[in-house]
Amino acid sequence: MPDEPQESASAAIDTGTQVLQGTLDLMVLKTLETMGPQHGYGIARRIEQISENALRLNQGTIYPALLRLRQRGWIRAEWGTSENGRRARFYELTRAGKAQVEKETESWARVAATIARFLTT
Amino acid sequence: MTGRLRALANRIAAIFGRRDRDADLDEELRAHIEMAVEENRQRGMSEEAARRTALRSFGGVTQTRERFREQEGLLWFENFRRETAYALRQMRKSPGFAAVVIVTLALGIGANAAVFSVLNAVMLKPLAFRNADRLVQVLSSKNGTRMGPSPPDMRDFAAQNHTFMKLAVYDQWRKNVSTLPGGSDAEEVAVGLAPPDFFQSLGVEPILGRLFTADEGVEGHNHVALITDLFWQSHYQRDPRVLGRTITINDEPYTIVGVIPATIPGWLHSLQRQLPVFEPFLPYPGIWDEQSRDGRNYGAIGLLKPGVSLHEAQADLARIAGNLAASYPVDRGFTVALEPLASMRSGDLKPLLMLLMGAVALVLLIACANLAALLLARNTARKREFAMRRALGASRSALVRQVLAETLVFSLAGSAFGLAIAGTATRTLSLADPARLPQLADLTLDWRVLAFTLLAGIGTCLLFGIAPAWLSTRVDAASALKDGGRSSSAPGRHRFRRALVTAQIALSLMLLVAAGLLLQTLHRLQNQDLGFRIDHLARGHLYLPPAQYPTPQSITGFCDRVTERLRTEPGVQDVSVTTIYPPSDSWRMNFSIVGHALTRLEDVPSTIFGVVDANYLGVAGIPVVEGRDFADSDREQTVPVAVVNQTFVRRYFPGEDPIGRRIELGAPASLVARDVWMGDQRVTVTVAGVMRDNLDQGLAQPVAPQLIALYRQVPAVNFGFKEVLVRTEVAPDALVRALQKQVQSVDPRIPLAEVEPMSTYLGNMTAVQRFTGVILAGFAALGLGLAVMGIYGVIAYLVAERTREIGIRLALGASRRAVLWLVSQEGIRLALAGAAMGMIGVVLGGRSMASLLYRVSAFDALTLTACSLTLIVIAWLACVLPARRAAKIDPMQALRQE
Repeated sequence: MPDEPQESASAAIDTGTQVLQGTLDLMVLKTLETMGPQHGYGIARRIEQISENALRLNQGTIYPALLRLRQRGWIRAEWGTSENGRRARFYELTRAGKAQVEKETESWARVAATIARFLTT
Repeated sequence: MTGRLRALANRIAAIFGRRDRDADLDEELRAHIEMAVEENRQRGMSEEAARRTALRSFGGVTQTRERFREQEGLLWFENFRRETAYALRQMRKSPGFAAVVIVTLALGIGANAAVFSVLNAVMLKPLAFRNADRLVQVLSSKNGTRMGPSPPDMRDFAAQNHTFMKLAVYDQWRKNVSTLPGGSDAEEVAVGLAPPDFFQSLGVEPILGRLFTADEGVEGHNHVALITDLFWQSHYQRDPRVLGRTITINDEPYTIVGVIPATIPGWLHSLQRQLPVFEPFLPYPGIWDEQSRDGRNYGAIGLLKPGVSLHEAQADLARIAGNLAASYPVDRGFTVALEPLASMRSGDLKPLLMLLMGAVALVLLIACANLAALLLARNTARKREFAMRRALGASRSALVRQVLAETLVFSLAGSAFGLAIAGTATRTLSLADPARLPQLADLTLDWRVLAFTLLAGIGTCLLFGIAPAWLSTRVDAASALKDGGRSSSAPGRHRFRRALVTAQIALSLMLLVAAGLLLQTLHRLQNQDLGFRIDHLARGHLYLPPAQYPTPQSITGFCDRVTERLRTEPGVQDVSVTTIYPPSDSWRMNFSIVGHALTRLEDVPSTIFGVVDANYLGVAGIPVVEGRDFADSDREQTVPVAVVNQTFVRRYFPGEDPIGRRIELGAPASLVARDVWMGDQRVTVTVAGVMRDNLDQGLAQPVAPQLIALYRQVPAVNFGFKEVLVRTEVAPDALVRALQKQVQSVDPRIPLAEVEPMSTYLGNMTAVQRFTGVILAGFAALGLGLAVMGIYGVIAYLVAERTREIGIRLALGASRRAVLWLVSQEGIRLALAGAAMGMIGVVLGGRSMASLLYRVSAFDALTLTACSLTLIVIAWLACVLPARRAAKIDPMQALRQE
């Protein structure tokens, strides 16, 4: 396996994910708020379900997002056992994370309302 | 925001402990896939389909790992660490190459760092005073000429300004100082005269005791003294009971009231060494009277109020100066100039230092060109390695980064060694101090020098690394791998190397011309005819304090006795006691020519002045071209006579015979009651003779009108300061001790100080230029040597490349000489192109050098031609070796080679 990153391939993915990074983070946080502690696979499946498969993200992109959220201190991770007895890493919201969810929900609502006003005049 | 900061902190921390987290991630990803497979199987897919679908929904596992790692750590740092490790491995494989590169870099960067640290000490370092940024120098200026102000003017500035916290006028005089009762250890020492505001402005606090008080600047109360730490150490062994002890200055007792740290630099007083002793500012009792308003050239500093700009303060003082000019005739035409105190430190050195900095930077550029060529050649040999990596998917920028990383490792190593070299060089410099600069006492490698060295290292890395990196990674993978590593000459590379060499030659020419011009300046400064005989001449200085020699007659008597006594010394031809000698005399006397009445003070001319004895012109070796010299018959009771120089005659007696004309010394009494030098006396002298012009305004200024008279005939200006000139039959330095002893035998309390041969004294005047000239010549030689190496490299490469072609030519009957010419042609062409570019550089930069040159133009045709020809000839010689090797090629072998 070559050591160096594939520059050209990652460039394409980057432009795609940059746009969605913020929203993906929010979706993960919201999922954890609703579902409580969950492992990576569970979060990814739930996001797929909620968006009714409209968002076709590769499930793998969830892991850098989870790391990002951990680095920011909004979620924390712990090893545990999954439903079928497998060792998996579970994530849950921290108090700062809960506050962040509320804040971002509010700001999304505001944005949506403003856009709606524009579109209906 | 705190989220982001915490994220950054996490990422930095993540540099450590990578391996465990990698394993964790792998396990997590595996678990994810298995769960997906499980779910798919529950939906009814087969094991195979389930796994396939799961992997597809997941996306690329490797990519996820990459994204994760990117998010995790600082990617560029990881890459950099890896590339550096690789670079170090490469270096270890070819130590010879690495050594050449690092040594070249160390020398180049070290030289730059050394010059920069001198520049730093002289120009950039903040002054070592508290509030250094608010300290300014105050100057009076008239018609563009600047000089120190007078004390009465400064008193008015201090009283009427609203921009300064403190203003202080100060001075320094050489005085006879002794610490032992009886004065047997009397030595001549520079004593500072300073008010308490002087020390307070500089933020100098006493280590022991106190500073002066304001009322100690008054006659009768001023016999108190401050000594510095070093003087306390050398003369009192740090005895804590030094306060209250008596120190004798010019035979008068002063009480020591305090000890101050030795932080006041000599350059504040235009001296090389620090002043060891201070007394209150009272050069003479009438210093604050109106008649002293015209006595300028005192030192003056000020401490601005916080928040006040130089501009505001300048305007404020200019306003006051305007009022003074309106109220006092002697101040008419004078205004004020303010300079930050730091500029007093750099003084005349700035242009020389900038020249040296520029020159050493050019040397580094030339060295970088060599290194770039070296690097290019070496990386060309690594084409196979690069090709393979490209084939395996590395991008070109990754390869460039790799090569740059190697270059950076070289540069940083070179910088580190360069810093060590600079440290040694600067330490040697401040110990040897060949240019006698007080500013060099402060030479350290502080953070500025370190930052400069680091920047130089990175800069050189980019300079000599980028182009070779770019060029050598331009590989077509397939052909490179097939070729087996043997490089066919890529035209781009060859063009690049030739461009490098052309640039090197251009820069070398600039260095050569600069060195040539400066050395010529030095030669002219040192070897110009100063107008008097310098050989076998010794000089000394003595001071007769008023306490012991209160009258002009007593002074004259002492001088006569000293002259007699010194004449008896074997080896002495003749002696003169004088107050001046060439090349610089700064005593100016107002005068008027009898018969030419003057109505306005501004019209009163002034001349360079001096008082001498009858032997002066003879001892100094200045010929009299008209009339007669002074004679022993010119005494106190006879008509006062004067000798003027030829420029004086040209200016004030054009076309007339000056002999017999009468001149009144001092500004006319009708215009000014008290002249600054003559007081209320006036003496009319008769011109008895004309002396040949000699330099009287320093080494680099034209001759100004000068008038000299006998001190015994003008008692008003017969002061205790005297210079002694001794014409010897033997070498002057052999007689130093003997001369001092003879003077001591006349009066043991009067030391003959600063005794040295006149040649030494004059030599010191050009010490800085000499030192700079030598260094610059060294840089030029170094640059030329490097350029020669560059040319040699290119031509040798050319020969190696075209071996086959040359072999064919020889086989087809070409003469050896034709081959020689073929190869040399290339070199000469490069040299001509380089010289042409260098000329452009010389023309562009010439004007900035003009201020450093003396009697030689910055575009001197002879120098430019000589340097260009030298360069072209040397360039051609550099081709000779490879050319001869080309001519010796055996055509059979050459054809067989590929």
